[in-house]
Amino acid sequence: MDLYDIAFDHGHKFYAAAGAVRLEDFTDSNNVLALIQYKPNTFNKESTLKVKSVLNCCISRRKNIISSGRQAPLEPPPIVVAVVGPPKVGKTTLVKCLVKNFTQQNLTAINGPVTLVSGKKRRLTVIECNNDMSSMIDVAKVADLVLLMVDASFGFEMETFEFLNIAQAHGFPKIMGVLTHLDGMRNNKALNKTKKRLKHRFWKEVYQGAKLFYLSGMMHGEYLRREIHNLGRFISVMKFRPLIWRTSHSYILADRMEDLTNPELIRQKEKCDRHISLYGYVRGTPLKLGGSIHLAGCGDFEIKDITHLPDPCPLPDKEKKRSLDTRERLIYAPMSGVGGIVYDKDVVYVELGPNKSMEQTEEEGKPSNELVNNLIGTQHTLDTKMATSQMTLFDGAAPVTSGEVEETERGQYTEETVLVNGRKRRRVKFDDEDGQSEEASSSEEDDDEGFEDERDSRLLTAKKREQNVAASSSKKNKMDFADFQFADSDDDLEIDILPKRKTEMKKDRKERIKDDNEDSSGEDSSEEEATHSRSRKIEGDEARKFRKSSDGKKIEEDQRRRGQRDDDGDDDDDCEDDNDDDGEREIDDSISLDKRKKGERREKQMIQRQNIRTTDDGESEGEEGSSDDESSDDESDDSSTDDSKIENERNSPAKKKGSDGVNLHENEEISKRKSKGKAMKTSSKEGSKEEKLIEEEEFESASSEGDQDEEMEEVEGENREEDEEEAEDDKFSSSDQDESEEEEGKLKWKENLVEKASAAFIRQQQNTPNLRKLVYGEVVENDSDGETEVLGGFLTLSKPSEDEEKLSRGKDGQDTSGFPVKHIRDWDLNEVRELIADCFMTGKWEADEDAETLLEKDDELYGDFEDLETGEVHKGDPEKQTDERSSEEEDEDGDEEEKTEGEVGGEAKPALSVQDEDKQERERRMEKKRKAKMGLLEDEEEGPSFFDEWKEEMDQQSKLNRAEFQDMDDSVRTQYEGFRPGMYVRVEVADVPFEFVTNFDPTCPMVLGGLLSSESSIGFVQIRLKKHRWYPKILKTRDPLIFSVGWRRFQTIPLYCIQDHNGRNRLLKYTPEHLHCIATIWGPITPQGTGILAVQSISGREPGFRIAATGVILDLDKSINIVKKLKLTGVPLKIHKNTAFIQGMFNSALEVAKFEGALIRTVSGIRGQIKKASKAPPGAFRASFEDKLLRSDIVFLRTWYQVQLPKFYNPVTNMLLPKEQKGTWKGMRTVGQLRRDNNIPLPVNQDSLYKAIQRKPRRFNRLVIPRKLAQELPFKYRPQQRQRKEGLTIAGTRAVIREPHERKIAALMQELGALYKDKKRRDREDREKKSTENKKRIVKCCPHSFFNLPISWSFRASGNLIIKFRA
Amino acid sequence: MATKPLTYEGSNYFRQRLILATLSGRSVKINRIRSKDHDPGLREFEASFIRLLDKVTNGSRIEVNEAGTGVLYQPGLPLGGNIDHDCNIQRGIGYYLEGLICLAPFCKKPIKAILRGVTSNQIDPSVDVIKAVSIQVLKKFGIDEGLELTVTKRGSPPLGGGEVIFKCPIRRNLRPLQLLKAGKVKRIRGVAFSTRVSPAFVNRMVEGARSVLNNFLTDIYIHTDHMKGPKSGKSPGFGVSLVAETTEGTFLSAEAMSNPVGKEITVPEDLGKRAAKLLMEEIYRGGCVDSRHQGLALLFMALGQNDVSKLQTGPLSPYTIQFLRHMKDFLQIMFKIEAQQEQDGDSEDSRTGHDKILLTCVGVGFSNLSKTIT
Repeated sequence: MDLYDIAFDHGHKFYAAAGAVRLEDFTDSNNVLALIQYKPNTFNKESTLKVKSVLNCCISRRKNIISSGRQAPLEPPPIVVAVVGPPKVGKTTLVKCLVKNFTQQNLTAINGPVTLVSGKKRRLTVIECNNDMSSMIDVAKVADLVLLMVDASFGFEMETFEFLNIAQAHGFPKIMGVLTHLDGMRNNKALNKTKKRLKHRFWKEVYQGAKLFYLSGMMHGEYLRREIHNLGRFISVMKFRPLIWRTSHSYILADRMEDLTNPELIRQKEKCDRHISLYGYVRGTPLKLGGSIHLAGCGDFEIKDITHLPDPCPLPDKEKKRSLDTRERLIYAPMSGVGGIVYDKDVVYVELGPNKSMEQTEEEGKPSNELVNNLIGTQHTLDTKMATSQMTLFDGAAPVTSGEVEETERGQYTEETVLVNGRKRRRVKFDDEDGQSEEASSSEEDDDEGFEDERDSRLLTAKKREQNVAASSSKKNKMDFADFQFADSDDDLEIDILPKRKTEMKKDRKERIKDDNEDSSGEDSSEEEATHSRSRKIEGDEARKFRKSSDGKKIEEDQRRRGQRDDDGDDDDDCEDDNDDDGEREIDDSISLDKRKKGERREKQMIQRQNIRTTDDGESEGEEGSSDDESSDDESDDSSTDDSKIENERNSPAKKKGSDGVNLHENEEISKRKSKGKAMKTSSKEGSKEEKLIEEEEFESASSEGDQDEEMEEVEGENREEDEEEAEDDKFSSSDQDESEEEEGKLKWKENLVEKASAAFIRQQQNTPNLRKLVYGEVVENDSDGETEVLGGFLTLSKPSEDEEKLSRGKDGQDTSGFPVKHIRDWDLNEVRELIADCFMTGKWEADEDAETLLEKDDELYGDFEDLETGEVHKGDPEKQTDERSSEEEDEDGDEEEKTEGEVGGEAKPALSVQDEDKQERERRMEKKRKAKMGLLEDEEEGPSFFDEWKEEMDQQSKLNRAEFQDMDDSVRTQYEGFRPGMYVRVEVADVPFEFVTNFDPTCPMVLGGLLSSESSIGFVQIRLKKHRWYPKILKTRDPLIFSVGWRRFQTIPLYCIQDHNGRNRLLKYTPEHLHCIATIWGPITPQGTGILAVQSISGREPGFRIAATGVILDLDKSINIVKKLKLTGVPLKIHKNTAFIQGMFNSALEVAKFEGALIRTVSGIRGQIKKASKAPPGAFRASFEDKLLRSDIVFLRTWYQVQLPKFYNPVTNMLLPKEQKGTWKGMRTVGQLRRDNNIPLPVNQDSLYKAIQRKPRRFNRLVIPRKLAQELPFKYRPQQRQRKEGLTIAGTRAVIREPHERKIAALMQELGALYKDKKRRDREDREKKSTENKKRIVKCCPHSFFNLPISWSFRASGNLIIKFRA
Repeated sequence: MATKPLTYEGSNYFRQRLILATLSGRSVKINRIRSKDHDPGLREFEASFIRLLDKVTNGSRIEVNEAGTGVLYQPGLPLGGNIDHDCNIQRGIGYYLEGLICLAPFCKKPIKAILRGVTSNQIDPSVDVIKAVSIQVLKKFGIDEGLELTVTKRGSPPLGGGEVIFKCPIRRNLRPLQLLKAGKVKRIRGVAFSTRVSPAFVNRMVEGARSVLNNFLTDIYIHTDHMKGPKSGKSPGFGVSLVAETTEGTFLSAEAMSNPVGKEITVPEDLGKRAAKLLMEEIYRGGCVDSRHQGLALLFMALGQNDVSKLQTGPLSPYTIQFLRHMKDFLQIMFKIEAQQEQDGDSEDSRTGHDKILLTCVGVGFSNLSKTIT
């Protein structure tokens, strides 16, 4: 039995036990009692504690789950749905069907990820996983949901299990099984059996009750629409648990790649390193500029640049509607050539491909791909085909089924390689499967046979109907299809279809089908017309979306604006915002030059000022003043940039002309609707009318903010050499006034806006840029400069020279954390003291923490009490009071309080008698006891548990995280936070090998994994590793292995070791079986606790299970001590009594010195110690032993030898290989592999070979006791004198020659003897003969039963039979 | 695999660079160290700091060029454990401790360091300040149990001879921090010490300090610590360090130390007064951490999880500003720095000293990579 099995068995029992009483219902403290009442027998008083612990366990587990998903982004990135499975199982078809289901579009070829809007709040990125190891590993790392496809007609294949194990090692994303090819089943029964078998096996791997979907058949080369629809609904309501690795790292599943290398460079040197940009949604944590990334299958790179792009596939912004309309069903798959508009940093590409709707109509009739074609053409089911193919392939032998394939003992599974139509498939067979499944089916058949049957019949009817539908293709039935054909199982999904609501649902469904029909008919018949009529709308919509997203505004903002709907005001507001945005993003050439000049001057001033004003006071003032300037300065620049910008745009290359045609509709609409200013800038480039309009608006907006006007003037009068300080001071003092004055002068409707937008904004920004500049000044400056350089080219970098100088002066300054005070104020003076008077307890407090106000609050809070001294009674809120009292009564420890309460009460009613009090006391005690016995309510009264507090803290933190940067502009926000998950970004990476570009294959997943700062260094990684049970071989130390750790895949040389009890790491030659060991590798530093996976090779499809080992990272270090045992041997050179001189163990006296005092031992077990090196032969030493040694003794010393760790790290660069070889990356080969490849035999040490042991029999000499000694011995121990042997007489030894007479006698005697012998022999023979005859006779005459008696036989010579019966 | 080393110039902020390099795992190259000085290259105390770093970490590589004007540091992983280090007497133990404190929570084993040298001088924080304030700052980040600094011997410049034992537990992650209220100063504590001078000096310093402080607060207690015999180091000297504690648990420190022998003679009363005034200046600056510990607090904020941390401080010291810049280079973290909003209506009669600054950041998601898990 597998470990999994055991686990699930337990799980199953648990569920079964919990089935009767749902523990979730009794989590409340009150319900605990309810639970006890519910099952009075089960939960007697003794077992209450047990129940409590069980409940606590349940409760805490539930909470755990709740609290783990805390930092979900507001606008989450699309969910990655990966379709995984062995080849020809129907992956591509499923992806296409899903896409069609969600977007009503048919995709012809799918390359790379497809992003689409699946619902009001959810987007999906669907990706198909190739069937090679590296793709599977990469996909498992990024997928949120895996659709694991299984060909039910064939059974599980190795790939399925390999993928499951990969997923497990990397955090286990949500997995949903999808069974296909169900229509190939012979009959219902077989179908049911297969389903059940597969389902149970799948549950074992994932979890009991994991979702398994059945796609029962195909029509027109697609899966049944209803089933796909259901699948889609499941996907779009699925919930996900955060995985640790992904919540601590950012990553991008790139959906587009562009080569940005200068073509000239490529021309000069074709193989130069490339500069590329990759596009995708940020997932996980925010991605930071300046960090490094790992491009899976390529290597580590530093991020050159990140840009935030408008979302190409945004969620619908309206929330009122029930469902999406067709315009909102967006799809974005740039590598498949879908998605219409493609955005880049500064360009927008509009694809003007063939009309998609036309394609759709063309393809409507015929199935799209080859596989489907084949399927439709066939007469037989897949099963029968399979059978025949087997017959022909294995000529003479029986068809290949599970039985004949060579079964090796590898735990509980066997692999079977099956050739189907020349394709090699690796089926997984389970030893226990057949029997078990039989059992299971037989036992469970009773349970749910009826149900299954019912379902089946439904399924069949559905199928029939589908066929009907196929027959009459133009007209579709409005029948109710069987809605759910997947396995019944537990759900954390929210299935809204319940039996109760079924009728409702039916209605719904009908309606929807109607809609569908209408849609499809529309598509069929008058597709062109429809598109024509719709085109305007769509385009308009797109444009609007583009505008919105490019504005970088949040939905909230929009809503707010909509709330205070005012047409004109709306326009203007937008315009303002635009200005701000532009200021951050685009910098116009000419103005920015001015700005920089000004900036320089400003900084000079600032520094001067800082120098002059020594006190902190002055400094701060100066800061504030100049900060004001900065902020307003920026704004003014922006407002004045626009004119020239528009001009620039008009002169810009003719690329836009192409798009003009497309944008024509937009323009019309926009001008009609008098839409936002920004939109006009992007769309209407030639209309001078609009331009004017913009100018006007901008001017207005500029003047709307107080000091902007002034700044405008300053910009104009830039060349004049003014005394800036004066002007600034003026401005600073009068800016507020100006603001208010100008406000009054303006139109009424602008009041609101100014208040809202500028006041808050300006106040917030007042000091920020200045402080930021003070700290990060150079950086910010550099950034903008870099941009302008790209734009202009003739501009020079201007650095704050003053600052530089100051810095250089400080370069070799004293390194101290102190902040010296330049002038210590005279703190004895009262005025000076006043400065910090409020810093002390004695000073003035904030309003909310002032003692007096708090006291007043207390009064309100705690209600009435009596001042005992004055007798004054304070009254409070009566309701609260009662609450208080009731709660107090419950409190057991509140004895004293109750007493006081009693006293308070004593005023109203007479004091209680002593007896009464006693009685009360007793009652209270009884109550207490009872409660203690229950032992349940204690926790409730102890207050919030640790977990509650922790959760609370987490919640607050996540709220803070959300709120902190919410109102900021994205360009600023990303600097602090990084690029948030959900943003669509463009990541520039330099120095990528050219093969990445030339051998680019969009079907391979491109994963950009963000690395934390310390993760790009390399060191020794210790892993708790276990060889996979299914892997056929054991792993050898120093055999290269491919590891998947974090984002990376790399080959390295592991050393296996095991830890002894004293913490020593002992080297192992091979991984132990069914046991963890520690593997040490040289690899990238990755946080502890990260799961890892090891495979021997990723090239090709080797037979057998390919996952070699799994494990988890334990420790990281730069050096690790692994030892192996070393025995040094020596022989005695000279032996004294207990001392001996040993030689041959060491080579020099120095070596001996190192081991002085070490314990040594002889083979025979005599222990000793090394004393000192002796002079004579180098390396010999004196040692003392506990006994005298023999010359033949061998002395040995047990030590440990530190193993050299190989530093080999070889990233798997399969993305650089040509397209068709992507799956065949080969790294370093193992020694065994090399030997095999080069036909090198294994070197054999002849001495190590075993030979037959030949032992001569040992001869021992006789023990000789000296006569003297023998005489001294006691008599009994004295060696006996050997007696001479008797009987050897002369007669015995001599030959006898007889006389003739004697000879005659002897001859006669011999003859007589012979005769006698012969007679005796004959007599015996006769007797035997007669006895056998007698036996026969008796057998004939006697009854059968007679012989059953225990008897003994005896015969006489006469032949009479005597039978003796035994008693 | 190896990223390019970050390059800096000059000897200033030497510790910051090495510490941040160790924490972030990036190599750092420092060129032109005192290249224009009469005595170019690294000083003894910097070399000693490098040696300390070498003891604390495992696998770091340090290359110093012949003239000593260039250093290349490839960091290893912080190891911790038992460390015994003779600090150079050109700088105080505080110089070394400040660096060590930054690394200590992220070691493989809890650190127990014995540092010998000058316990307090005029430029570095004295061990008393570190004991009273730095340890409190660490506690705010959830590093508390087993955190300890004991002064076994005191040593004054120029010859030193002091000894401290620093113990620090290890952590895998740090807690995010929100410190927005400095609170009101409720008590002032301090330590006045003297080595190899008359014990009366201590009391005279206390008296001097009290004369200033009594104008503000009554709850003042200054310990006197007169070390004798072998515990008093090798040189005469005396000093006082003061710590103001607020209602919100903020500690602000100031200190003053006598001139070393051979220089101008220091009057103990004046020294006490000076320390008290410096403390007033520190209170004037305000904030939730004092000016010396801004860098430490900000570093630990940056090394937190991906959570928002906030800290209110007084004006940023040059050291802190450079620290922020360095953190941007090494950890790619940028702090949001804003001046604290004035309370409405209070702006005119606010008597809380200098304008406060609010620093906000999102932690980089740092975790202790050295700590072994089982």
